[in-house]
Amino acid sequence: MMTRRFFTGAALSLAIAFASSTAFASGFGKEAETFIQTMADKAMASFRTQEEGQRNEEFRTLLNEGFDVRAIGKWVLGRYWRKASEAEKEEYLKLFEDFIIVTYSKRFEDYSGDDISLTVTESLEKNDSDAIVRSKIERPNVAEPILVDWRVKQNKDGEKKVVDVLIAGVSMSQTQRAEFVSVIKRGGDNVSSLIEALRSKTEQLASNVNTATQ
Amino acid sequence: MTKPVKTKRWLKNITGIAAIGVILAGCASQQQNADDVNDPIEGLNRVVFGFNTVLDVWFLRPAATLYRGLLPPPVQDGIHNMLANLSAPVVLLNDVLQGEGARAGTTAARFAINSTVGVLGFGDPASGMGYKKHDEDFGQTLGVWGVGEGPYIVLPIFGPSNPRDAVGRVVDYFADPLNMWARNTDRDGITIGRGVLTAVDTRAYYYDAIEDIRNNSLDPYASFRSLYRQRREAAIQNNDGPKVQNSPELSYDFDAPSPGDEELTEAR
Repeated sequence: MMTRRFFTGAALSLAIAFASSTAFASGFGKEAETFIQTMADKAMASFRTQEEGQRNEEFRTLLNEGFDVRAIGKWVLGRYWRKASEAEKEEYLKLFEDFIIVTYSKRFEDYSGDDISLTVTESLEKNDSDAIVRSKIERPNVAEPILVDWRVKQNKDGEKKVVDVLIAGVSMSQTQRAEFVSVIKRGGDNVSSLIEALRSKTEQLASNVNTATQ
Repeated sequence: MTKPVKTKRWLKNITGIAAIGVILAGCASQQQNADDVNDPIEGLNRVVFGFNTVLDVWFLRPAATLYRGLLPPPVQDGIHNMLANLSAPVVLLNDVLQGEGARAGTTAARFAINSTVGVLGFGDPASGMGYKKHDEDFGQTLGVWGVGEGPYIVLPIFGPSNPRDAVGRVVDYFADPLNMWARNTDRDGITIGRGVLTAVDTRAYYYDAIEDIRNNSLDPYASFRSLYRQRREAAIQNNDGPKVQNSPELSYDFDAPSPGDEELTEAR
């Protein structure tokens, strides 16, 4: 079974300031650690000051700064990326971003009340543009920390971006991919079936949020 | 506590199960493709999944809701700790079978401390002394021994599983000292009561995560399948939680496919 840690971590990921760090990596791994820390500090600061209603837009900005949403969206589609038409690709990527924002900003909100802290513990680098950073999220009154690993890659413009988050060893990108690929398969191998499902789910979730906040 | 006769019985159980383990070993582990869902009986699994969801909505979720509403959080934590402490002998056995000496020591220390100072496991003073909790089961032990997971199966009531983990459940059940004692003394109520309490406690513990998936996923069946398989793999690698005393060792498979693989070289 998956754990509560799993989603707590997902929700917390952006919302945390953390004290660093005893790291063993030197090059890109070390840079990636600093990147994760900076991103979390920034997310925390912005989250404290933002107004109700602006949450989604704030979240969108932070998400695009810290994550390679396009690369994740593309990878999550698996082998169907190639099968999709140009119009479908564009529409899918836009819907994917909205879907991530509506699902994760809610999780983010649910856990933001906790007095939580994130500590980078170590990192491992594959080469000078690919590393994994391990962090530990601790919550008050909970004995067990959540282990969150961040896969960080550098793109051709020299920017560092998160491409995957692993919570207690479970990859968010992989899980999302399993879900999307299954929807496409069941929809007769048509990417349009996923696009339709994403659109109605996002609308439904967004209206739930609106109803809840009114 | 354990009399020689029972020890023999215990050994017999283990031997029988070990034989099944050897049979399972026939389906050795294989490298998985990222999209290989390993689910040949998906149609049937989805039916069982639907059945389990109905059972959950009618019985387990209301029970968990009541449990969360009626018991103060410290009492819920206490019950959670107590159930975990009752499983400690099985965890210890699996630590040993996996050749994890340090982890076995931790489990033994936890059981001794929490059963006494922790008042029958209700408290967890051992964690404060540096003996952090970890989980093991015979499914994981088989995984460590190189047995592949086999096809994904949704069991009625028990939920996501596979042949390896299903065998593991049976072994853990028979190897459990409390169950053994209950069986030998015709106190089935104890085993059933513990099972029901464990189900409610687990459902309550993961309440938010389960509701989250059910509400947000486009295909909850596929999400649970992916989560289950990844969690089990991480658990076998002991990569999912704090290792004994020290920070867990970071190991990572950089060669597994990941987002950004082509994106980084592709012109935008």
